[in-house]
Amino acid sequence: MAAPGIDQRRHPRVAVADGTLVIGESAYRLVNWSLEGFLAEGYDGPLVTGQEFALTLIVRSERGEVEVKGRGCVVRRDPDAAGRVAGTWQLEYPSPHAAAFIKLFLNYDGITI
Amino acid sequence: MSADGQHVRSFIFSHKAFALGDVHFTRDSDGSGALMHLTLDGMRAAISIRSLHQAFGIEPASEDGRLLSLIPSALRFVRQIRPGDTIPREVIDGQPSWTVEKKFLTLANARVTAALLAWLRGEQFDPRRGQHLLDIANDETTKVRVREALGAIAEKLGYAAERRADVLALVEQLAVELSYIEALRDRLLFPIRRLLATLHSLESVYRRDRGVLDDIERARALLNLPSKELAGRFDEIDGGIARILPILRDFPRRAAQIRRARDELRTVELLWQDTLELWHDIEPRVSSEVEQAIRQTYRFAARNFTRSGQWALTNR
Repeated sequence: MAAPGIDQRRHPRVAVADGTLVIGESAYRLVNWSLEGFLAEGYDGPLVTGQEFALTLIVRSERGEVEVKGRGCVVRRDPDAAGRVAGTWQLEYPSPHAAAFIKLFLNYDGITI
Repeated sequence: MSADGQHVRSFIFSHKAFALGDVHFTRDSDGSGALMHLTLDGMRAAISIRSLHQAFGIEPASEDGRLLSLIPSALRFVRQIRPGDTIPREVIDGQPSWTVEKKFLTLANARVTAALLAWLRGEQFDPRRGQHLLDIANDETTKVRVREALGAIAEKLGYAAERRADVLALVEQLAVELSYIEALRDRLLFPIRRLLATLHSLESVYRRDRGVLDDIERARALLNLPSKELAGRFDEIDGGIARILPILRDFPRRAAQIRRARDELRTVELLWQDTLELWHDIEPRVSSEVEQAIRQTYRFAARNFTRSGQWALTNR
């Protein structure tokens, strides 16, 4: 069992200053994301823990702007905490090349293709 | 220069990042840098080229690094760059990467000839009398007078009188440099004036449609100033050749000034190009096509010419 407070995620989450999670036709503020996970807030839709869905993530940073289409799965919902929804995600078409460019927006350096 | 000392002529990158997903480069929104766009397996990205060095470990001194550093200046002359594209000549050796029609060389020749004639007569040269210039230049007597005066001009320039051919070469070279300015006047200044006149006439066409009329008025208000500033820039260039002898005396420096003006105006042309093409074949009457063009023109004007500071021709 990991010590409390230790982040066990394989990929570190990166805070997002300007980002959006799009589910269907609704958009929610993206709080943070990684190569396989996300946290958004303001969610008031019907998805429940364990449910899969189609998503689009849009992130703008000083490195530019990226829009990725993928499949998400709800891991946790916390309606009382500003409608927070956490989940995992993966690219619609898994691709090491696309992943390399997504790493750029996650502030990775020295990325190889 | 490449590692073997040759001038690199094309954007041929070796890093795999540039071979993927329909990569192309455009200017960024403030015009100071560039973005690399790509679409790949459900992902679309516009990446600041500044971040590519660090993210992909591209050394600034490497071949790819040097090519990336050329992209922002190259994008002053072309609207987008794809890997494999030729580097604009303006960036390599200062020569224009575009050509002009013969009529603009004729017009530039006329302008230079008229300036020479004014000098011979001891008159003030008025560079704005376009048709008058052509009449003068096409006049056989004028041509003879100018040819005969080449010896005197040579002496004024400090050459021996026999070096008429050198003077003639300078005069011809000056006309070549100015032919690009004439082409830009025709491709940029005149269509902008026509666009403003069209918008003006559409105000009465749409006088009963408040929404469209607002867009027309706002667009006109925003475009009026850049149009005047552009006209002023051409006047400045024209005024510069009114005194022809100092130009011929100091030709390399003055030619470099004309080329800088040419490149600056070419950048402005690229900025306006889509908007001017939009109005090329449009009849100024009530139609959805006209209303869409008005909306696009207002968006273009608001994006580029809303004044928050000094407008510097391109405002980018």
